[in-house]
Amino acid sequence: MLPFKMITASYRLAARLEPEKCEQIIKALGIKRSTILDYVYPNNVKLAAAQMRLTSYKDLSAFIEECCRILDEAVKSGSHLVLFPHLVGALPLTAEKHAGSIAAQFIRDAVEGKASAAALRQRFEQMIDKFSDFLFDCSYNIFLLLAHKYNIYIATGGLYISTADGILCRSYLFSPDQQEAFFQDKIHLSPLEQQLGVKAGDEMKVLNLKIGKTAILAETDSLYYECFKVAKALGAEILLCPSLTGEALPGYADYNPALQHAQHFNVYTARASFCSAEDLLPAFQGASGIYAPLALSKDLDGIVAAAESGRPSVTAARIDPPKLAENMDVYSLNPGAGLCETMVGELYPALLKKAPPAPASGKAKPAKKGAR
Amino acid sequence: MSKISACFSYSFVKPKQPANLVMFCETRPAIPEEEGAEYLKKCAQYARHSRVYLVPGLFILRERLCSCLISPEGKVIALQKASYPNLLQHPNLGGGEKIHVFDSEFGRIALLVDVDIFHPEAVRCAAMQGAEVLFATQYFDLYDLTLPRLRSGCWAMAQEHQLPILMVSNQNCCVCAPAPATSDKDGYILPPTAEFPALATVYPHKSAKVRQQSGLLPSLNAEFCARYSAQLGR
Repeated sequence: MLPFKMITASYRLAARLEPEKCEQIIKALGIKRSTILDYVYPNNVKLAAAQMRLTSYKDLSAFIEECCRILDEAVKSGSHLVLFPHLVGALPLTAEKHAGSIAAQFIRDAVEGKASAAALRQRFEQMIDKFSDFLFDCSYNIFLLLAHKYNIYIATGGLYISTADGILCRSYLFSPDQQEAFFQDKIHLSPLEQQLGVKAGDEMKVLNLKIGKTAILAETDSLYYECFKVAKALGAEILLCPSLTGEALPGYADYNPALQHAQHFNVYTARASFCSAEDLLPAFQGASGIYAPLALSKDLDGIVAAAESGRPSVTAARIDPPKLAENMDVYSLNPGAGLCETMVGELYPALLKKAPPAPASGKAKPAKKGAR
Repeated sequence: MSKISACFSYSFVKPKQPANLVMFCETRPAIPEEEGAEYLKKCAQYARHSRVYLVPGLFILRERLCSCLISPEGKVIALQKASYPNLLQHPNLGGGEKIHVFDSEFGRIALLVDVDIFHPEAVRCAAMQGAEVLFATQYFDLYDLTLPRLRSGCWAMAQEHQLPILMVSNQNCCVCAPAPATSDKDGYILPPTAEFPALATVYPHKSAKVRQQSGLLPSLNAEFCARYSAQLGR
């Protein structure tokens, strides 16, 4: 049985997040259309990564105004695409006080381990059942309208949605040329998501945009090099990595997979995250920026531009996708097909069958593979 | 053995005690094939005399760039060929097909040869076979060794795959581990140093605990990897 508070919160949320309200608010803003995407010079592509403060919004207008503030800054800097953090589409939830507090309490309980797995899963399913449709309609409409009004690509990190196939974590890329957004389902789920019954996607989509071939690797997807390698093999030059916090993994303050894999796979990457000042959740730092292979960055450190970790900001930088083809790094760009063939022939299938690791075979011998 | 007391030193210099493992800083890109047998004999004598495990410098064997681990009894107990050829230093050498994992007194170990450390596939191959510690030996051209370059190899791999990695090159050495398993939470047990000899103590079980708690490798989407085996197999 659903808690009464959740039922009433869902009714109030539905009223506050009506798609027609979003359209009225956006129309009233008098947004000026940018011409930046009317012609894109391939060597002069500009990306923007929005580092946002994780905070509650008093109403839908406040959220839309914050998004427009970010987009105004991106357009002013000449950006063709703006990347928003992971789960940014869930922020309109905070416009309804009780819905926001239910979500915040759930996150705290999940992170601090204060509820059983079964209880968390039940609460998560209830929240998806009661909130996700309104949230999806609202944020989808907001970002689609803004992409059209500003004439800019907008990529948003995932949002949990309920589909016929189950609960998915889906990221979107809104194009001013399209009436529907491109989407990418999260492929590698965190242990918590698996516990909550979220279903993993299994398809990597590479989008052919005016700025180049682009893919989205949200949150935990960026922790697995396999996603970068597949996206690169499918032609991607720009990989967008929406994140939640500055820490790719708890306790790893300095590790930035978007920065490292740009070097390993010869791609440009962008990362956008939240930063928090204890408004909704305990304080945490952000990590946002635009990254490149070492040789294609000014200081040879892989960083094209980076945000200050504790402050909300819009970090914009120019990238040059055709230059990737000229980058010959003798350390990371070597052919090694033999090893990779062995992995896909033996090790990944063993993982699929959940074979245990090879048993200890005594000293002085290579360990046998797959033996039970 | 619950800990590794590693000593990084120039070749054939008496190890600083206490050390149960020595890794040589060899100044040449690789010991040529014609000198290999003599070199390894000398290394075996060193290991016996000093009563340590030894990872000597890179050497060429049957047209492959190799690394090995020698026991305190002077026996080669692990031999690994480079999977990724260094096209600048060794353009004519071929690549191997697998990273092997060996059982040893330090636990399950794997050797990463030269530029293999810059390829996540090589480290993943070791991790999927249950490796608990990695020993990496590299050669850098003088102008190539920068902190970002170093971090993109040993350090980044230690974070991504949550494994302790002991690395020595012709210019420096360092020991990296997953950040939560290091005292300063910065991912370094021994920050990069060019001063030899250098000592470091590694407790593989600390990284094992981090791996177990994060559940990263078990959360790898195997169906996705099967679907894109053609792309992953390149």
